[in-house]
Amino acid sequence: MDTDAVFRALADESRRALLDRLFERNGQTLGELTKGMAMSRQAVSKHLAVLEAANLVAIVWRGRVKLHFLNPVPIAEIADRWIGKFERPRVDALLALKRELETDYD
Amino acid sequence: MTDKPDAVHIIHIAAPAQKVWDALTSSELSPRYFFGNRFEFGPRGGDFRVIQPDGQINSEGKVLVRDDPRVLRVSWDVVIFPDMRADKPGEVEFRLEDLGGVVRLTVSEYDRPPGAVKYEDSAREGWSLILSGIKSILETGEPMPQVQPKGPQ
Repeated sequence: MDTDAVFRALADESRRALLDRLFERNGQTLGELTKGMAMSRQAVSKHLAVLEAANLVAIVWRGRVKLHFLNPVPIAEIADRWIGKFERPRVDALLALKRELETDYD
Repeated sequence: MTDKPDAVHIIHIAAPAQKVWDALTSSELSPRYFFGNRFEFGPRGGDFRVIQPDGQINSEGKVLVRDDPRVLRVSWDVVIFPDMRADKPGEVEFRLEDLGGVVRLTVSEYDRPPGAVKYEDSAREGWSLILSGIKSILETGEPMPQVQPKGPQ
């Protein structure tokens, strides 16, 4: 894994928004991803290329249609690097607590 | 069978394709990265099984495509969860591409059964852990510290 490429790719609000969109619904085309983003198709395409180079987005061709999938593996590798076996349940518990408390105020 | 996957997971492993293939298909090695579970892949047209550490069958299916050491595609019927017994089996494809010293291993899930929706988070995390486990074994010779995926929420 090219860790620098992953962090560079993640250090951009628009690219994180694109990953959010794929997290909600995986396997979208460039056209679908451009809808609702306040930027041009070309700009979205460039951001997707950065995400693809960092292996955060996987491409599947269906005929001539290019589909984008969120590849969570590099993020899991980052988490594994700093979250140990014994910390993991505690980290999960804190995140669950946060989720529980914050959903009430949405 | 549709040709649009529901999920795709990719990892790059610095090892020869044959070694990655052997790790993936080995009944001895798979428990080291598959949370103790054992993969059993027969020849093309043969049986596929996931055996839990307690000996119970977790999932079963057929080997649909087998092209050593490049493609392995199985039908995957989760039989361990009572609420998924009525679901039609999905399909999982493992694809290995040799990029010259580095293998790109892609796991694609097709026709994920409806009952699997509540297991989606654990599946997402599960494949990530399985793939980094294979990578760790092949690149360092050591399995990662055992981490269990979260159960359904």
